[in-house]
Amino acid sequence: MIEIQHVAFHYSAQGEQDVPPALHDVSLQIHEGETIAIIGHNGSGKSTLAKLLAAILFPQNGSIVVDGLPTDTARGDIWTIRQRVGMIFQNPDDQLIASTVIDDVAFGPENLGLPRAEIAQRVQEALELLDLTELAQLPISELSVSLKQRVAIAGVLAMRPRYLLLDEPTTMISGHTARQLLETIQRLAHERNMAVIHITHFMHEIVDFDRVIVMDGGRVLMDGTPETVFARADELQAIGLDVPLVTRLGRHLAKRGWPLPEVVLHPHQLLSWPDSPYTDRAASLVENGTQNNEPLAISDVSPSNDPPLAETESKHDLFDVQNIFYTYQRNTPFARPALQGLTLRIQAGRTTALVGPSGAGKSTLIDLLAGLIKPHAGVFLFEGANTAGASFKLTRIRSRVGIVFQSPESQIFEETVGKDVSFGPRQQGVPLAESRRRVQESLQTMGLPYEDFRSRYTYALSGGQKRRVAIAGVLAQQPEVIIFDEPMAGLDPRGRNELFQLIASLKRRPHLTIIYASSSLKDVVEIADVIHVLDAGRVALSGTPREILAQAETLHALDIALPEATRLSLAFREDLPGLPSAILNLAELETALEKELPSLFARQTKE
Amino acid sequence: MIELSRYIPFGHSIHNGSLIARLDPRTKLIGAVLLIVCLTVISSPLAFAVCLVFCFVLQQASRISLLYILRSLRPFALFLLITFIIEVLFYVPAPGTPQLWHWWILSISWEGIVLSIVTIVRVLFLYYLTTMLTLTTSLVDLTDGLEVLLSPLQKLGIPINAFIMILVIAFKFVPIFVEEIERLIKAQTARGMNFGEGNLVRRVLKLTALLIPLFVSGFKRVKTLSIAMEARCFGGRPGWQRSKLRQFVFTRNDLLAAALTIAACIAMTVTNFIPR
Repeated sequence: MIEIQHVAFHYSAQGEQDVPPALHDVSLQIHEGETIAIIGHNGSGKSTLAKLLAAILFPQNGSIVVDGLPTDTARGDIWTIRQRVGMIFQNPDDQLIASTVIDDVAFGPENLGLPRAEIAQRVQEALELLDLTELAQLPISELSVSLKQRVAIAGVLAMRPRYLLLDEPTTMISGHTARQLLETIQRLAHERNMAVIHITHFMHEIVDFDRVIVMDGGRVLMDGTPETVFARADELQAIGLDVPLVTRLGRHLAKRGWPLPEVVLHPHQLLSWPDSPYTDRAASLVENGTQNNEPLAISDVSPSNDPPLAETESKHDLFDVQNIFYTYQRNTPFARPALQGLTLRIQAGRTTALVGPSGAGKSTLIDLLAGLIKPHAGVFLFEGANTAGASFKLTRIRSRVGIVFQSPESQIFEETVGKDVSFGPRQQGVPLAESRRRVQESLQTMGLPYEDFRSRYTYALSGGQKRRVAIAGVLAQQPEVIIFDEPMAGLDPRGRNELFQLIASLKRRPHLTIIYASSSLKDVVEIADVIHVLDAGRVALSGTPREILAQAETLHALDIALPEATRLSLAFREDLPGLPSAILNLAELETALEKELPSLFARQTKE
Repeated sequence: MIELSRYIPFGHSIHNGSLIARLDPRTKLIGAVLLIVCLTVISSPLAFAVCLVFCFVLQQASRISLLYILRSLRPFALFLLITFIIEVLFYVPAPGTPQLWHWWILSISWEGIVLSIVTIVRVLFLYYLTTMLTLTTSLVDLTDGLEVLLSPLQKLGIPINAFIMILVIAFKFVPIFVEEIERLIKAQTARGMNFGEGNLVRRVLKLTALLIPLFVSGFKRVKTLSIAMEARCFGGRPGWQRSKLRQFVFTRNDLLAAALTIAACIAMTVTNFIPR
């Protein structure tokens, strides 16, 4: 059991007064075999708490006692604690040490000084648990992100921890791979009586956990079962969090008279109430409701508001990519193909989304579109001009295309915010007064007051602020095209919402083309005009959001997760075939359900 | 400039299952040391010829593209040429020997040319052998092999284990820094910086502007990785000793390789001292 008593933690070493403490007076108990989820806005102290539990950080006040071993006394105990409390980080690249899979899984047991035979046995066991035995001799650099994450988990399990901490482990994975991973972990937890503490921003992942802890501003706000916590939806939304989509749908329908329990956590609960004509079928409703769905004809789709893709409008092709090939480290024994015959066209003024799992080629394509790399084969036309031509300078593209990279750290390089945001205009040779005006305007758009932020040190900003500064820097260039590379990764629900609003407002600007790369369909279905689905360096599907959503089976085969609302609607289609197949979001689902079941709503008037 | 890791093939070994790749790293390390010592001693063309034959056999057994190795020499070609020219020009022959050309303190003589060629040839062979070693042996194997070979020194009280640990961690982090530089260059290029333009001084200045962000983000990554390593119980505690999963076993191939290497070294030394 882990006992946390009145723990407080401060990040600043000098105890500066204006830096708020990361944790204030937190007290908790964690028992073996419990599955606990921790949710909270970015900066609420979740990761700090995890690091304190793993004895990576030490509390300045209060105490943490793991299985009777305190974390602040004799150094020898710390290593026992670290063996008992295993931690998985968000990014597999931050935790994989060795070059091959088997060496990395053995790293932990080797550190424990175990005899060779025991190490071999534990490694074998861990590889089998995560289904990695065939990949044991492969170099880690050749693996996909989700496989790397599995290796990381195997590495920790090989140490036989009693408590497993997962810090947003599915951020870089999506689709059913993420779900499989969580299922494996939960199963292992029950088999080995291992406690699992899962930190996440994805509410639907935690409906089956024993306990949900909500953190806010360094304190524990709520601590209870998913039912009790998600019943307080308004409070959660007030602190920047959310409840699972299914729960929101349940509340909405309950208000309209459906006899549902107060907190709905699973889709089948929506159809199984007393006297429900659907009770016997409700049992067949599982989370993966996509098994029986074939790609549906477009005529099944309800009349949409999307403009047709046809070239009736006189938008010209901004980017014309024809059969492009690009290989990293070409002509060396380490060559890695990234784009393999990719063809697509992007039109000016539209919002185009590029969706695909990690490794599908999105980042390479983005580098190409931004004029950072040249294709190795194929034709790339920018505004109709061939970029391979001798007179074509890549700077022509670069000056008009701005990229917001995935991690703000990689694109902020000046000391102060003002200097960094003005970097772009300075390179463009913009006169000082105009440059200052642009910086002011961009910071304003991003909600950062100019006078306050312009001389702040970039290294001292929070993650969210850095992200805004990075975007402001791109806006100050006044580009005609803005490319976003997975901008929502790692953001809490409020952060996502704010970014979403920002992109929606950018869309309203005339003459701005937006390209959005993401591994999650959910992020883009509501803002994209066109979606291209990438797979292994090629375009697998293209179309409007509804056209893409209608192809559930193909998406499933490509391991691209449908947005929850769409999945739910597909699950209901068995019983309510009149439901439209390509539902974009919760609002549409609610409207559609109301339309389909007027008889149920008639009950309300009778009563 | 953007694909920097292409030009810095650090720590990348080729796992092609060839005979050489499968040899025990200890054999390769000892063999490499013997050959390098030999190379610094020999100077006669016949001895170099023997070395060439050995390298040819090595090349065939490794199944690595020769073109790739030669191409990796490209960045150094200019440097080697400059070294050659300077060595020739500054070589002072014994008084009385004829000189081809003479000006102030510089001179060109046959002796000078021959000796400079010998130096260059030696450098090329050394480069080839060390590259072969790193391309056929993964860093893990290299450091493990080194640790085992030097372990007798540990018993003498020299903290070999600690040194090896430092080497392993350093090797681990070089590619991280290379990656960070790549990312920064990309980000700056995307915002309009042109690294390829301007005179030499300006270009160097542009690169130095990367230093601070590089250290900040590089060290952050280093810190995250160290935390992950510590979370898996890697760390200095009194009396801490790591064990190993891998075990090195000498096979027949190792004996064969060792015998061949020793034979080659003897052949080289002997032919070197045959009077011409």
